[in-house]
Amino acid sequence: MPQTKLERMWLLGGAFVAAFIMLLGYLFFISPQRGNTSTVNGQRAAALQANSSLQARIKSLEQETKNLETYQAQLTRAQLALPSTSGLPDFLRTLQSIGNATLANVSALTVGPPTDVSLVSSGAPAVAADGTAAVVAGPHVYALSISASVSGTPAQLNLFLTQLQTVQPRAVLISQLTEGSGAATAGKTGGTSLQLTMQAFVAPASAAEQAQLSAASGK
Amino acid sequence: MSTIVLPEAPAPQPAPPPAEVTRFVAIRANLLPDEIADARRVRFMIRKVGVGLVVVVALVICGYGVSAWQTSSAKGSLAAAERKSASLTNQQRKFAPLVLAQSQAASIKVELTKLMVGDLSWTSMLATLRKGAPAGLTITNVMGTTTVGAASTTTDAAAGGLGVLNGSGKQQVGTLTISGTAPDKNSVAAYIDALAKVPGLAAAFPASVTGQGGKLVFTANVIITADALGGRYAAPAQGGH
Repeated sequence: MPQTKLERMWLLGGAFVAAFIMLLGYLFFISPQRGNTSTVNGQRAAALQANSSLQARIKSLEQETKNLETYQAQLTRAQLALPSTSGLPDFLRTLQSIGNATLANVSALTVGPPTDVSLVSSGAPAVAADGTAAVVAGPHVYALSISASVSGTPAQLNLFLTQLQTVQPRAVLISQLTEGSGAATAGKTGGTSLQLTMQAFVAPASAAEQAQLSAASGK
Repeated sequence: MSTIVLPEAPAPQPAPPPAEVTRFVAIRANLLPDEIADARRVRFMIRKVGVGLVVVVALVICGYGVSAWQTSSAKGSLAAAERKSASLTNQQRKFAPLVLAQSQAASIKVELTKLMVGDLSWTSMLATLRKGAPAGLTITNVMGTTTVGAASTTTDAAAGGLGVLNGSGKQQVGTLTISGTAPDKNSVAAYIDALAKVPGLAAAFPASVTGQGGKLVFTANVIITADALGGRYAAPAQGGH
């Protein structure tokens, strides 16, 4: 035990300096190093989790790859529904074949300029947060407005509509339909003509195609 | 200065011959000055404090060393995990055609679902309209318009001033205008009532009824609600179409 004041001072001073050294050492050396360790451990945990997900994904892909042809067929069907070009010649051929199959007569067809419907396809709000019109970044989707006049018996027109909406590969959205009939009785339709306004969609894959459609749509 | 008196020496041995008797008294004294003793103790304390500080520094260095080793070890594990990750990514690349087909098909499907949100089966809709017609009532003209999704870009979404009559609680997605002939007003009223009960239709009302007994010409307006929607790229219709 210290017996003199000087000894006590040295003892207390030493204890103070020791505490100070420990504090400095912890704050400036040990703690930052522990922080580094913690950060690296966090990255490691994330990497391990990602690896685990990747392994599961690879296992799943190994199973799914047996059905590659099915998936490619699905993609082909999807691309036929939403082509990257206007695809109107093919659509004309489709209408002709539907007409032939149902015996309905497609007497007139007009196609309007493309309209940018990217806001609809992206699900983005029409107005941005700052109140200005929203602009969709990335690929755009355009709608071609198609008007068609079809005539035939009610049964033929029904078949034509069914084929148009559920069988032929191109996705078309009928936005307006007018069915006019001649003679009819209750429970039976007398519709003999059908005026359709529909939209077929195009998702241009290349910038050049997109620029052409954008220019045509006036945007 | 202090004087210390030590205890007496042990009992003397048997006395020597009287001629040689000498008596010793063991007296020891610490004659070291206090200042020197204090200085020695202080120096000793300084040494102890110094050793203590060295130990503390050594402890700090050890703590840092352990932390550094842990960091190094964690970095090694991280590097191993990243190598494994790169290897797995490479493995995944061989499935690129499959992943591409899946992702593109899914992306197109999502776009089509949004674009075709206003789709409905017009064949079923027309059949429903005809089915509700009472005897003697003839539908001569049907005009339908949808106003949601991509269709809203080309049609007048406000076609519906009719919307204020929509008491179904469902979203209005379009309108129907039905024209026809009927033998009397009761038939028209019955038809309007029948339309009002069809799921997917709402706010049916006669816009005009003209003519006189025998043959009336009528026009009825109906709201199409979200229950009527459904198609190839959307959820099936909830209504009866």
